[in-house]
Amino acid sequence: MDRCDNEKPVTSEMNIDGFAYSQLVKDYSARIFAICFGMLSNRADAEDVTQQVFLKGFSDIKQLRDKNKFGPWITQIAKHICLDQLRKRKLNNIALKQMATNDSKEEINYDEDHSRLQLVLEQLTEEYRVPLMLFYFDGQSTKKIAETLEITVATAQTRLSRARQKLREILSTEGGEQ
Amino acid sequence: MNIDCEKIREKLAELINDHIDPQEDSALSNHLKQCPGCAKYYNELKHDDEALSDFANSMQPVISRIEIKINKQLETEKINTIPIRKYRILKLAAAALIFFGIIVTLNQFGILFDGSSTAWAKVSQIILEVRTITFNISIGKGPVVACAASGKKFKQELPNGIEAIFDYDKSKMLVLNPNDKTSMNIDLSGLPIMPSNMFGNLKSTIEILKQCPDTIVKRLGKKIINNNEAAGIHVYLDTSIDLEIWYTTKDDVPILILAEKMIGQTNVTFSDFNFETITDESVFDLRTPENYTKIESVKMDLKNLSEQDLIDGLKAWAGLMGNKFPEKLDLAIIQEHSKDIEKMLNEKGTTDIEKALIVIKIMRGLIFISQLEVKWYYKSDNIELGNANNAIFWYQPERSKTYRVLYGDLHFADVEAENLPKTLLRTD
Repeated sequence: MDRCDNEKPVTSEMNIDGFAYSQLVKDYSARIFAICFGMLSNRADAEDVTQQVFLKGFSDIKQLRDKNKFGPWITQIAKHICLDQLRKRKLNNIALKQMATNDSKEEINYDEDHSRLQLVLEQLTEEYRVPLMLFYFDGQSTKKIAETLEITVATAQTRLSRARQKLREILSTEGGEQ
Repeated sequence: MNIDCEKIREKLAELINDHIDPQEDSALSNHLKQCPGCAKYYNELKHDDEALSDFANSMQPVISRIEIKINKQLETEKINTIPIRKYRILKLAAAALIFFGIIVTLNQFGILFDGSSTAWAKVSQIILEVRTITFNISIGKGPVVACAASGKKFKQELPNGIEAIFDYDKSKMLVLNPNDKTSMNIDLSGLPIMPSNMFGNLKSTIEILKQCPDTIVKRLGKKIINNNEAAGIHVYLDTSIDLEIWYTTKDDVPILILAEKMIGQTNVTFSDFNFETITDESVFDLRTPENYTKIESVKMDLKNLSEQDLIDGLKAWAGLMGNKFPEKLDLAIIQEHSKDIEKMLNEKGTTDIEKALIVIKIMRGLIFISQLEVKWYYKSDNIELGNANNAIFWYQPERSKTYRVLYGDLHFADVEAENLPKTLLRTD
């Protein structure tokens, strides 16, 4: 399950080699998508922002001093871009719920359960949603989630457990089971 | 729900985080047996866990789609002027081409070189695992050249009998002319760490195809090749790699591989493979045979290339081609124009060593370009050597806000982005 425990080293040639960078995209896309989805609570936005994150990473990769820290570095870029995106949303006064509803309507590939689950996930706060996304989308362990989010393992464990409990609470309150 | 149940439920959520079964904890297990509420809650948590896993799995195609989009965007936004995957392929091709390009220096002898499926898994494996091989190759419309490869040693024989032996590790090449029993040594330095010959290049290409999830494999049907029934597969990756592989239906051994645009815009054909037939490494011996006369040695340094190498290379090219610049800055251009180069060199009556040096100059300029890691652009339409008003090339050096622009009289100038020559602004 925990497939990302070891940071993938970035060799010096990766700075310049597009092919190697596309390998990094492959290695880290699930993690970055999980963070973006977790923070933005909207699949379409998460898709767009994940792309922005990797494009930004590609153009800035020469600023990455410690070549073994691509994971934390690209995660930071993702967080910054997501925060920026959230700020823009506030400025534009776009109702999050409205966007989420539109998005779920657009998503034709989801079955009913997935659409519902997505809507429920959107009701969780970011601090609970992000660990949950990292756990399921990127197969991260609590230890790895702690590393990615720069929190303690105990906090990661608590957030993940509470996320499950909150999710259950919402599902129970809404009535009916999945 | 009492306090105990509340704590138990927190613990149950933690167990799911750690993929642990509550049966492993006797206290928990006992509680679940006695408390239907918590047992139900645990089942619900398990159900949520499965639903979330299922949801995440359903997102995998979305993530793959993102990866494809990112790679496409990297190309279309021209973060590198050369598309990402192509850039890699070009780099792979570069080293192999350096070798082929060096053959051009054979002017010394008055000669220029002209020039979804299990099947895919099996065929690619055969190629990737081969240690020694002999095969024929033709580049574009060039002649068929017999080749032998073993690790980083490579040998090729031109149709006129000229043999070139290349040892990548030693960075040395020996060229033998059996017609007049002469030999030439070429010392190379600064070779890139890349496949050392065209077969190595093919191997790397196949490796990339195997690694990339976007690789598409399609069947091409069957036909008879060299009296063997052969089946074909078309294996490609967006627009950057395109192979047509024909293999025997009897034992899945490849017999013909057509690599589209393997060198720049030029197609390469590999055929007549013989696997693991080289038993004697002496075929790659770099020592001059006893009955051969050694003539001048040539040194070629591929390190520390600079703008000046580009200037010198373009000057050398234009000097041969009636003041015209090459239509593209691609290493394959030497192959494509090899006959013209040969003709002009002979018309100028240059000595053998002068010929070799001219070709090396052109190659160094092209290699400088192939190693640029930043944006660059080139367009030479109707601009002749000496034209100081029109630009033919620009690139943006690393960390530079301005651009280096090269004009037809081969002088470089620093130019602000907004002042880039309109003729050289990209429209694609």
